[in-house]
Amino acid sequence: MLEFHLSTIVFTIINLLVLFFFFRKFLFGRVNAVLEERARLVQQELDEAKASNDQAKRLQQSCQEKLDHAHEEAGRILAQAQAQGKKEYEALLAAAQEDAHKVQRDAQNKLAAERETMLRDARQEMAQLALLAASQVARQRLDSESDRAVVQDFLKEAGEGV
Amino acid sequence: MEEFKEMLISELGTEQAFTIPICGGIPVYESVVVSWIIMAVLILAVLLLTHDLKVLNPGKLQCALEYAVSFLNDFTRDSIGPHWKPFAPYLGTVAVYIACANIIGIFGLTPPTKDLSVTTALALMSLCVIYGAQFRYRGFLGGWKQFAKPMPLLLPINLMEIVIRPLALCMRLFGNVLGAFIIMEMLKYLVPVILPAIFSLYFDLFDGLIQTVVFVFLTALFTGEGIRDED
Repeated sequence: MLEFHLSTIVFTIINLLVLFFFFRKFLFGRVNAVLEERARLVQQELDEAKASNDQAKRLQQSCQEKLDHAHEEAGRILAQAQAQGKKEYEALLAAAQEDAHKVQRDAQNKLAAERETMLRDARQEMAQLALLAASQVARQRLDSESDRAVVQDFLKEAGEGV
Repeated sequence: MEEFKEMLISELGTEQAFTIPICGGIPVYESVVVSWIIMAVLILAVLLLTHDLKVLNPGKLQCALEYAVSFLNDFTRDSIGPHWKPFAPYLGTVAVYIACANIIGIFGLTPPTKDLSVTTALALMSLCVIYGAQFRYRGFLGGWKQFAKPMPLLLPINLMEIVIRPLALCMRLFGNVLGAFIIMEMLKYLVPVILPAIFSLYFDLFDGLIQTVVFVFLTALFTGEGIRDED
């Protein structure tokens, strides 16, 4: 009836050991290796994603900084250009005004000088004419001091009349 | 009826399949032969299942396999603690073997676990694992000291447990499978159609799997008890 068979016990222990070593190598070993490999892979992917994320953030920050800097620089250059332009414009304007003034002044001066010359010439001519006329009238030379004074007076009167 | 009784009594024992003609003849019983069949099927199945494992894009079968192995690993870690790793393959092997041995009755073969010698061998292995682990991880002295825990008063009980634990494991498995087998035989004798199929679902499948879980769970629990929180 109920009996222990030593051979069955020994056989079963051997069977179990064989099955155990086989399973450990081919079932659990392989499957656990796959599981570990996958866990490692996932961890690696996560690390890589984190690293690239960090890098992207850093890059974005530096780009932003550069952009800000460029904006600033552009503003500065624009302001400088505007200031320079204004300065040049004013300088040109001033020069032009100066030129115009100078031309005007020259013209006035010239006009005045010409008028003066003309007046002097006319006066001399008239004096001679007067002298000539007077001498003709008097039929004599008028060269005494008194004559000359008379002519001068006359001329003065005539000049005032002119 | 008399004839049925005799049949039942003869079922308690195991038939001798053949004898290996060396060393004065080594008897090989039916349970060992059925175990060999189970092992052959398992080994072929494992080779088929694991010959093409992929890290990326695993198939459905591989997913199921990985789930089962992960479940076993988690279970072992939970019950044994930090040193779980070497025990998972053993517990898995025993679980698969006992499960197959218990439900092989469905295919008309005699369950090897109906043989007291087979369950004795399983219990002896568990004994070696439980106390081997205790001495392996606590050292020779620490292993002995573990018998005096949680208090020295319990020393005799703990020592008795060395015998009681494997005896209980062995008898529980054997008794359940044998009981189920006998009930099934009686049912088949009384009502030969339909009813045995329904009860076979319970006794062969459900009870077989429950006994597997109980055996493996208790082995893991006792092992964990021996080596947990050692420091």
